[in-house]
Amino acid sequence: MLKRCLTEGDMKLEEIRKLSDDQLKMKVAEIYGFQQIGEYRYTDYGWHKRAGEDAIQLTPIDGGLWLQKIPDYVNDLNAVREIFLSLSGQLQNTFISHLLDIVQPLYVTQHHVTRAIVGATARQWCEAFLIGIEK
Amino acid sequence: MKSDREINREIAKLCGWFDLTTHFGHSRKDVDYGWHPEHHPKEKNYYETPLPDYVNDLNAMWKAEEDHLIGDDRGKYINELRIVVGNEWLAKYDSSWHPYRATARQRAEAFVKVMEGKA
Repeated sequence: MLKRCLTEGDMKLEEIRKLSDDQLKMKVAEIYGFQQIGEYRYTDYGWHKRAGEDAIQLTPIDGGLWLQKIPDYVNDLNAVREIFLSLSGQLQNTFISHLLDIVQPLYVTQHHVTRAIVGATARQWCEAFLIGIEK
Repeated sequence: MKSDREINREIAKLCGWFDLTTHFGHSRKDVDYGWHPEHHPKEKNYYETPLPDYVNDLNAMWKAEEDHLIGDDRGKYINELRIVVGNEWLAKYDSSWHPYRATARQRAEAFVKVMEGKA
């Protein structure tokens, strides 16, 4: 579940588009509940990141803490779909309206809207997650 | 109803994979292999590789759609997707029926129908 609520917008689309893939991924991970705790070493858990390597962070699930590799949200439609499905129905609708701002269908008919959403890239899904996320 | 493997093989062929074979993998299951459309057996440094898992991987399906659904195919695909996912009338009231929630398997089924219609 998302740990923070989607609200009417603080982060502007122009700002979001300037984020690198890595920055965007980390922001999506953060709102999905990943936490940065300490520094990862062989003996203690926490987050660990080096150039060219995926971050490993602790994420709270069911009250427990699990070391988990952060999915490559900006390139992985399976991962962003998982976040989408964890949203409530109302938040899903809010999210879809944000996604539409990004994919901008050619015509605003149900057919073209669906077509644009189905064809959205993982990066566009991530950008939509950040629109309206409270800071 | 077609199995996942059947659909994967079918889409792979439609996307240009060739010389499909089956090997008994490390996971003690049959694994389907083939030659990537852009690789040729006579070229060095290329080998047959496992087929994409279209029915479970939205990324593989998205790539197949982008590469092979051109022009009117896109519209037909959305129509097929609506049929595969469920009831269009209900989609207006319950987002769980909407095509944007489609699973990779549902997208794969719609894709096969459109591509077969072209043949």
